[in-house]
Amino acid sequence: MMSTARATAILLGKELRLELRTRELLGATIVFALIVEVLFSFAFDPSPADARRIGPGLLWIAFLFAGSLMLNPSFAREQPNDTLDALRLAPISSFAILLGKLLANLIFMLAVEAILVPVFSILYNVPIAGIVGRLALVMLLGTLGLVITGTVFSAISAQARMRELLLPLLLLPVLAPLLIASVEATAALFAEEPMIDRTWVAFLAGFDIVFMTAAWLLCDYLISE
Amino acid sequence: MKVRTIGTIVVALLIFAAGYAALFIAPEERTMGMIQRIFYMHVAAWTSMYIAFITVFYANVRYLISHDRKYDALGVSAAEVGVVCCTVGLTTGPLWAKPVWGIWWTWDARLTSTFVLWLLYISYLILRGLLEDPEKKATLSAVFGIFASLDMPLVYVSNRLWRTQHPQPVILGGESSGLQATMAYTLVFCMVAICGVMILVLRDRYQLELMRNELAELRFAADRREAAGSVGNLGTARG
Repeated sequence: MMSTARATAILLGKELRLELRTRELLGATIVFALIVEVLFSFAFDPSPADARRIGPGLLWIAFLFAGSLMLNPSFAREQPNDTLDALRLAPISSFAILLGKLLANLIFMLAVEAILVPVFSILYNVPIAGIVGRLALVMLLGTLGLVITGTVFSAISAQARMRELLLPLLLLPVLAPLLIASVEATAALFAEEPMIDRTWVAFLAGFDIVFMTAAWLLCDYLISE
Repeated sequence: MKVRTIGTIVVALLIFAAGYAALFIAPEERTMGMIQRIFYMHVAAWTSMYIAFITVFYANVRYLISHDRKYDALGVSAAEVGVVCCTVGLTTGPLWAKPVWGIWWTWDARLTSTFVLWLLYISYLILRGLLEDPEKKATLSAVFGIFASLDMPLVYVSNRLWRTQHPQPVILGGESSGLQATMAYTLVFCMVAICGVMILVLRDRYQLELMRNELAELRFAADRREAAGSVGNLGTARG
């Protein structure tokens, strides 16, 4: 049996190659999140002060919605050619299959955010130059939680009817605590005196650890026949 | 069947007694007056809901370990009953809040986390409806159920850190908390009665699910036999 790390790396490479060749997922997701950002200004017509206050919420809602759409094909696109069966037959652990997809999704989501956050900063006049490092930490922890639960649930919803609607239905209520923590941590950074909110950052790390452990323990049931 | 009949009679008597105690025996609360009596129903519904949702978690874990379909049946039954109890709690809450707080609803920690809980288990039930294969339905919904259960404490802690307006727990709530003795007895009595109803319904729902599973298996076997039979007939016709 191949080591989990090596199998994960190979599968991650496969996912990235697939996306680089088609480029369908990233482009569509970025445009979707951008549309949410633009529509938001019509819905609330925020002043720069408003934008500081509601901006974190806007960003995370856009990412959660974008994530719940983008993670759908993660397992569903293995189905037309039954390629998941081929992965199951390979001498690798099922955790490697999940982890490969999870890391690929993390990279995609972070790429979306790396474009959308600066665009948000320009459109809504919220300066982020001084907080890039700290903001990246909050984004990483929040996005990791989104991607862990999202990848696991996309393995579930891929096998159900109406899966495009089902994934957000499963994912968004579970992400309620993550949304609160990410928004609060981001808001602390967008404030006049930016600071890192240790409580919420620790909460995000805890969320990631709890669900990563659960994904690791339960992945055999998700991937197996 | 006998257990069911006796259980129904006992629980029916309990419910009438508990209703009487809550409405007439328990003293009237000083500031809130009559409306406070909804408290006995409200808290009892929450107790039953927690018992039901803990049962879902237990059933999900047991199913994944044993792959015994009876735990899947227990999981779905407990989730449905829990959602009903949760709905009772979420309905009696605003009825009580309107005259006392002056508002139907507030985004307080406990209210918000319970609302999320309600949504989580409704998603669990919707998921079950959208999975066709019985084996997959049981396994995948158990995985989701475990994720939902793990999310429960996180939802509560995050909301608690975020904001809170709900009255502190009256029982075990710290120094100044405490119920008048008759009120406390009435509450315990109501909890037992409502939990009794919950368990009775849960038991019936569980047995219904077992029968449904059995029926589905019989249908499946009959279909296969029919299919095998028609192949055999073709064979003889050709011969």
